[in-house]
Amino acid sequence: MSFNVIGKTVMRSLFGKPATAMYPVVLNEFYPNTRGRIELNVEDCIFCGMCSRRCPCGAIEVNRQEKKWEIDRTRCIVCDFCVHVCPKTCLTSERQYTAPMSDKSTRFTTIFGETGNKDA
Amino acid sequence: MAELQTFVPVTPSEIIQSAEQYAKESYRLIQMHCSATKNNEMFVIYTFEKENLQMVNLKMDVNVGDTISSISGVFFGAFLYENEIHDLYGVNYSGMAVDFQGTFYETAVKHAFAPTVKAETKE
Amino acid sequence: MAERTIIPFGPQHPVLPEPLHLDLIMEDEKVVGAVPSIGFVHRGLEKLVEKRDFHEMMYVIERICGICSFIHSQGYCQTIESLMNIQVPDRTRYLRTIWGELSRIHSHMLWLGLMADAFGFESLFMHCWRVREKILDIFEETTGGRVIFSVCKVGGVWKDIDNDTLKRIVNVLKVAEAETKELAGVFFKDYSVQKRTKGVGVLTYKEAFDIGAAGPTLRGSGVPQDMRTLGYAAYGELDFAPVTEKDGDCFARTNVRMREVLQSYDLIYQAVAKIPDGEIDVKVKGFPTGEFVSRLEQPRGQVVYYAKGNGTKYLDRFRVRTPTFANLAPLLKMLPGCDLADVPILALTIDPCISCTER
Repeated sequence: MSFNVIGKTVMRSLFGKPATAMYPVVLNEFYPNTRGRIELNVEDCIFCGMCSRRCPCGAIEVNRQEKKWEIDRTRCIVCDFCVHVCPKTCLTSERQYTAPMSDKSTRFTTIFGETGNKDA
Repeated sequence: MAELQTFVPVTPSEIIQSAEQYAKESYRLIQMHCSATKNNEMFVIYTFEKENLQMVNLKMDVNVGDTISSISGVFFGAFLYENEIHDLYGVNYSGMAVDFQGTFYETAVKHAFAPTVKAETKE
Repeated sequence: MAERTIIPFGPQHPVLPEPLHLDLIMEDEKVVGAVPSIGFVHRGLEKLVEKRDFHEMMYVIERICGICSFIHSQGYCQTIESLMNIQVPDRTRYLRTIWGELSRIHSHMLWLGLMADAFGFESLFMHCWRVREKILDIFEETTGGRVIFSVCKVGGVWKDIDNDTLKRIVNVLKVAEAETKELAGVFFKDYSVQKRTKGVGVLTYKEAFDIGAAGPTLRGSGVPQDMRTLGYAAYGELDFAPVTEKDGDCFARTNVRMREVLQSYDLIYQAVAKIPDGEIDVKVKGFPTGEFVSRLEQPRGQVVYYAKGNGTKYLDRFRVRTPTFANLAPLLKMLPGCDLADVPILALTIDPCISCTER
């Protein structure tokens, strides 16, 4: 039965480097694999709607006639399923997370394709 | 991990005898659950396990509103599973060790998983 | 003749990670009975199986719980693969084992910190979670997320870890292991830890087995049962034995979890040394039919999965019986006879993961 067994660990952390970073002065570096936010490369997109059908949350909406691709940022869980099933691999997940918003009016990100786009 | 899966059919009248038989052979109850298929068939599956990890499953056909005798006299932990099946599927159990009388999971729609309940579709 | 009072415990309580309600029947300072009450986080996830096909259902299943998330997704994929008779490549099995053991380390370190916090030892709590941060950084580097990985799929895994990264992970883990060993010394030898946990909540061998306990609750009473000995994923090729203790009290269960953390480090080193090169997934064709029951070992104990397919892309039924559901009955057996001040320790000793319990 011993007393103060943790003393050595406590002394080492008292005089060592802190484990936490001084956010927001020091920002966090994310890794290359971090799933933060879904982005679309609209030049390659053929508006097939595969990402919209496979999304588990129903966050993506694709309209082929109007060439519109829309994502609801508050519904997306960044699971990367759309990235994996896209036949043209034009979706990527970026490292930066979606910025916080104060009301729900800015939750959609809408991207339009240009007419004269290459269709499959 | 391919184990041999055995599903032994059993009727509600012989479930207590089967449970006592398995308890004598030093099996223990590890799970009980109810399933409903699209053709409105419902069945309850009991799974028993021995200490050397040998497993056996019993399958019992039921309907909404049936009353089945509880095995919590033989296996004390069964009352939790039976209350859950009652609350979600509407199958009654008589003689549970602790009977919550429908307040185990208080859902807005009673017996929500039972096939006769039309759930509101929401994405 | 002592008067009986009823004191409610929970659902909000500083020691509980998730909401659990107990009505404690007290005579003066001693508990004589308890009635549990769950259902605060019931989300009905099992009903979503009718609306999400069996590929997308993976994303629902891994969000049943935040702490045991990876093993749920591994169990789901393994059950569907057994149902459809799919053989995954060897490298996949080893990768899943490595992530599974890292999950076990992070879950046990979380629990050890909460246990220390339950009896007021806050600096030990913070140090346990500090070690855990290194593990979460490894997860973010290899899978993209700290808590929810989204990396398993039916037929394999989505992301690979190359051999250089594996070597780097082993070096990080060696530093973490040295720190963990110091903290293990505190849990095994310190006077205040022993005073609060020795002799509290004793379960004998026979009681624990018959009532259906799972995981460290069972192994702390001496029953050497561990689902990893069934040999799923790559465990058949790794060398380990179930960790047991004889006494059956809270101190024994804490020791079991601490020793399992040290055993997991060893398992990861073995897996990294033996991992073969090759593909990481196979193509999946067709739909699942039939029924299958599979059992895995979560950090909290034995988890049972049941899947029933009917030949379409939607499963008929997917059932998850989590270890905390099986451990609620032993909790009711341990509570009578203890003091009111021991109730938080006892509620924590079964490792309550209530969001798993009531999907």
